[in-house]
Amino acid sequence: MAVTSSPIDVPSVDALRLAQRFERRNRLSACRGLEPAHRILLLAVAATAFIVVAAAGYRFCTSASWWLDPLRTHAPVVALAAAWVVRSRVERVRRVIEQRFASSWLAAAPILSCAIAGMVQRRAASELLIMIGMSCGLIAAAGAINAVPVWNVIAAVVAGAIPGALLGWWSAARPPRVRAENHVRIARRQADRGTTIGLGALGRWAFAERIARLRPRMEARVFGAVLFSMPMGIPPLTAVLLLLSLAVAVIATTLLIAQLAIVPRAADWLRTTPLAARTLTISSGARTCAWQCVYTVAMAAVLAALGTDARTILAIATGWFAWVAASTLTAFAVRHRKDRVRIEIFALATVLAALASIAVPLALVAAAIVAVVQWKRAEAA
Amino acid sequence: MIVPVLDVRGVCAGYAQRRVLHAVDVAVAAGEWVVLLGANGSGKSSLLDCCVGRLLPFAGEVSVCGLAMVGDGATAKRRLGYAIAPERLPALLTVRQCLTVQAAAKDLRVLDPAMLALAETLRLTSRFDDAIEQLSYGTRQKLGVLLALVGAPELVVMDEAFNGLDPSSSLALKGHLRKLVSEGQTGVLLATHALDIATVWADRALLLHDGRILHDWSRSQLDRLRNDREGGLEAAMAACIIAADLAPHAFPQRG
Repeated sequence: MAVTSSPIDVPSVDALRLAQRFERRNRLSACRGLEPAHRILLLAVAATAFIVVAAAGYRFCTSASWWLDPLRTHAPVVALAAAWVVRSRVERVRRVIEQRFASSWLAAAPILSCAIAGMVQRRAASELLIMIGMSCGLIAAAGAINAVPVWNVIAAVVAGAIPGALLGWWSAARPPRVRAENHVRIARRQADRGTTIGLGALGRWAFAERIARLRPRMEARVFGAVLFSMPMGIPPLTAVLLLLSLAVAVIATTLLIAQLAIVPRAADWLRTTPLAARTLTISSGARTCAWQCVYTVAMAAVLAALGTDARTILAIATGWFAWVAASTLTAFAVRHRKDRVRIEIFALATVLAALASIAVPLALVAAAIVAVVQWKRAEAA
Repeated sequence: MIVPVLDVRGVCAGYAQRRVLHAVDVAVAAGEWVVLLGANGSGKSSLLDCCVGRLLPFAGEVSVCGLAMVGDGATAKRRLGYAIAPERLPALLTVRQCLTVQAAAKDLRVLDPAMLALAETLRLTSRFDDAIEQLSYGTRQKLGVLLALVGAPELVVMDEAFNGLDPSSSLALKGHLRKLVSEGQTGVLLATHALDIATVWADRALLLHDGRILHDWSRSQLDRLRNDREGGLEAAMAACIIAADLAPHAFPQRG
């Protein structure tokens, strides 16, 4: 038997770092392998997104006195809010990464627990630094543009973030609570629908799965918002409406991402069945639109209650719907015509989805905040 | 006293609110190939997950070469090899990169020539620089098994590792494992539905049913069953399961 002539050199690097390095390298080479037309398209999309975000940020900063003043006068509340947000984020990041590692291919490899903890810490720290860096950068830019000292706000954010991060890290180490209500909900859904087969069931499937897994912890968020809003002089009802707008935006985005992730998977196995791609697209697409309609109407109602003008509401609703339709159709087209459409388009759709998942909730929440400011101005006048 | 390469004592385990394993005891000695049989959902994969430290038991102990999986996990895992299921392999990495990472995890600087020879026999060497997402199911399965053999572990744990392998690769792999076991340094625990492996290649076969070990067949009993013309091991398994279902009181009640 001929022994292989392909010896494998093993560098003296920690296995986890090595795996991450290989993954990064391979991802980069895959990007380099894109056809020039797709690369140009990707760059154009990224550049457009950057310009839009920068312009929106600049606009936000130039008229910042309305939100900077309350922040400067209520620095302890800012610190508390920062601690609360950072704690939730760190807890979630740690839980997600540890769970992902426990089911990964390296779970049975002899990797020291300190190396795993180091990996989780690096990921959580990088995410946290970006989040805090962006917040502080925005506050500092707004302060510089409006010639207002904001050091106490930045100090409050940092001072709140540090204990928040420690608390989040500690609370993630505790075993997660088993949420019985989720199991019950899944069981009831299955029992109700039995073994119904058909397009209706197929259209419902992605959403039913996603909704069954949603854990929005709404009560805590609403309560927290009300508490934080009291010292800032915002009425509790307005704070609740603000939080409601955020919740609706998050749920709508989550469902769209679910559509992009789950329905293409269904399309994969359905390709071997006599079910026509067009029928599936119409059925599932109609359900996507119906759900997104409900969320858009809810969002519009909240924004209207907050006093947003009709043009802004219409612009947000139209933009959101255009995005829903485009991304859903792209996902179906790529999966059903895999042999003809290049897989890079799917990568592009994923990048767009990622961008939208950040930009859309931000836009919706920003609109809600602007509405509150308008309301406060009107009240002051 | 000879320390078994795998010692599972009173293990109870499961997921969330569902208990899958009920006080399971299993021991695998060096130089022994043990096959784990059982119906779908009987707890075979959960038991293997406990053995390799992927699932934390509610109760009981798992030790590899005398090293407790809880408390001394990293050292214990250095002595075992686990055949990763094809769907769990990282799609973006190449075969060579996977082997390199696995070797780095075990602090190796070079790979065992016998393992590379097996890769050549399994016709995997020519695919070393292909990304895993480009490989067929069977080829991924071969890689999973090779990863388990990196660093010549004293315990090899495999879950349905022969699924999807072509007959010649399957035979080569069985021969390689048998050779490792016969040299007396390695113990193998394999969960499978392939009864020929139990009757021809293994030293013992365990039957797991509803999270409990129902029966333990020795090599001589397996030899008798191989020559039995009235159903052999298949019929013996069915008889054990029917007896357990008819007389559940004869077995420990679920906790």
